[in-house]
Amino acid sequence: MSDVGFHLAFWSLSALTIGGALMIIVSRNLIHAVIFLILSFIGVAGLFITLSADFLALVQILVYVGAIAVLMLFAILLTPRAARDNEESLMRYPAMILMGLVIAAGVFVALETDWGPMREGAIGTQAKIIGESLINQYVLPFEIGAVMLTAALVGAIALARQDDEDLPIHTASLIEEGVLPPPDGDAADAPAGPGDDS
Amino acid sequence: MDVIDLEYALIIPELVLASFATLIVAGALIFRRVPQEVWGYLSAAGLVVLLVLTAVFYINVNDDFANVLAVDNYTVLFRVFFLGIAAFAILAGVQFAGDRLRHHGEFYGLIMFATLGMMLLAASRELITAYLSLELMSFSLYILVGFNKLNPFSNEGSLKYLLLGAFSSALFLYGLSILYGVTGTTTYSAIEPDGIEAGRNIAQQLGNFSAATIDSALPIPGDVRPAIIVALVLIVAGLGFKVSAVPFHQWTPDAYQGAPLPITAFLSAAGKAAAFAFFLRLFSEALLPAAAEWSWLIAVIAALTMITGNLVALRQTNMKRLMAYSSIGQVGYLLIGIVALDAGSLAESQDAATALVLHLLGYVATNVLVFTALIAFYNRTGKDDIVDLRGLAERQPMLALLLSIALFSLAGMPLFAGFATKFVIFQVAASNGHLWLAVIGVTVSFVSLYYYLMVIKQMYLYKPEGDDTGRFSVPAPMMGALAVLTGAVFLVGLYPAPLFKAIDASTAMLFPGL
Repeated sequence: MSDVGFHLAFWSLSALTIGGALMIIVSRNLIHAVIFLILSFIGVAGLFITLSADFLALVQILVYVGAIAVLMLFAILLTPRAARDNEESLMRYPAMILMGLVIAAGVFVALETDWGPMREGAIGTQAKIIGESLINQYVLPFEIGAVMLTAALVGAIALARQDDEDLPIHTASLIEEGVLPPPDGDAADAPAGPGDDS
Repeated sequence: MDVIDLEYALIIPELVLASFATLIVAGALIFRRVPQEVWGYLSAAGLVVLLVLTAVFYINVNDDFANVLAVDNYTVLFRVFFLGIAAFAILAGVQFAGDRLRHHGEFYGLIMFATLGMMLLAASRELITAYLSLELMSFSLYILVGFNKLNPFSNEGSLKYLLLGAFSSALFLYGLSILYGVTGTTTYSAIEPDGIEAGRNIAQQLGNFSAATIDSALPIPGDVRPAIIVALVLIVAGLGFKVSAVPFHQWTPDAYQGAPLPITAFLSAAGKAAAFAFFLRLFSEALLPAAAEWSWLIAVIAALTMITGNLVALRQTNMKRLMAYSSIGQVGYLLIGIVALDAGSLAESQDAATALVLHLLGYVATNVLVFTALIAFYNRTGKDDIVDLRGLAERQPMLALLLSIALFSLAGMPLFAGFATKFVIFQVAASNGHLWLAVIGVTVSFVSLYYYLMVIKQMYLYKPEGDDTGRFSVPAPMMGALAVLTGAVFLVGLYPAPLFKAIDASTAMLFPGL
């Protein structure tokens, strides 16, 4: 790998990653923010490639750009109010100063520390090594991850499932938020809320 | 590929618990006609059986699973402890869940998944395993806090807990990654290298760095101090969120208030204990060589936590929020134990670890007693403000008495667990050179007595008010749990020697050089 090409790749990918991350915070539109997030993810994937971690780069693209970003877009599309009401915050300038300090500290640490050479040496075929360690020494963390996902799935279903008994309460809250039209005439079976006094 | 010999026999309790939790979730889903109490009592019974078997078969095993999980006496102590708390939380929560919650199989199953995470967390001796265990516990708890899903407080508490928890996990993970970047390994401390990492571990690397700063003749791998300090700050901040230390405590009152009461009990007892079990193992097994860098930081946090928790508790009107701030105060005392790890010799560090675990066990037993009593009260009345306890001594004298015992114990009165354990922890702080923390601790203990007495005053000095003033009875399983917990509080308070010895034998495992 030529030195110039490597540096060019590193700096441009870093600029893409950091620039994308900055634009996420700056943009007031959530959809735009997710697009910039994807850009940032791609930059990270590129950085993985410059580190010869090609498998990680692939996973980064597949999981983060492919699945997570799309999931976020769906979540935003399904919550109509989420994309609006992002007013300027009073805490903007204090937050900027604080972040400036944090970044300064981070840069100081990154430059001052002698990180030393990579201790593991060159790694051969990425996927093979990761796969082997996942069924070898790291089989337990791998399985803990599996149990964690199971627990999260079970819990998510238990929380998000709409039971029949909940229906009147959900309807009432949707009416209150103005998503559903208020019931006309007899609102006998729906509990009264502040929204349906018209 | 060199396959290492994985001894699955060492993690049988965890495997059994994971299967059992899954079976309960699936069973409750398939056999819908079986009453929900059956699943609750079945879960509690299963946990107790597992507890006994674990205690019998795993004492003095002292081995490790693939160098990621230590199966030593410390692990066994906390395995037994977490299984016990989970059994109590489920037992105390059966009636509550039947009256006020839905999806009971998932409810009991998630409590057990959280317990699994806690057991693994106390046993991990490798950063990735520890992090994943922490997340398994946290994910289950986020969901459980919001399990009362039609209650806006429950939703709010769960959301706050989730967002701040995710944020703190990110901080923590960033700290771990910097630590990995510096030391080049994720293993805390390899007692038997097993040929895997051939002796390279965090404790050893940090030891090399600190030895190199003292004796410049040693080869020093560059200046890594700034990175280690940043890593420690991030790790302490992340763990500070998990144990709700000031200034990372803001989620605590809301999550405690919003969560269903059995979950508040479980969260404040087991959740805190697990975070501390991990905290202690990480800071003694891995990070002890860098003690000079973190002890001052944790000392400041401990002092702030003790003072803020106890002072803000004075102004609370809701019993759950009061217990939240009281538990924050208790976290301050526990953090003293971590600070006192920074001592002249390993033996003194081990004293500090023993004191911490002893106070943790005493505090948790007492806290579960308080919450079990509150659940019994809530099941009848559906109220949880302090003034609602008015006249409890007339309505249910036994409950009022047990609640008073628990509150006196939390305040650190003699006879009860709180006195003995606080005494030990303050003594260790003083003898390990942190006298000022002990002074603050004793002072705020007196402040805490005031707000605990306010609750007792409501129960004993006033007549019952409102439309529901009749006497009521507490169901037998609940009364049994209360009796066992009260016995534990008195046992720790009056005769702590056997427990102290057991803890001492378990914390000895954390200091391989001892």
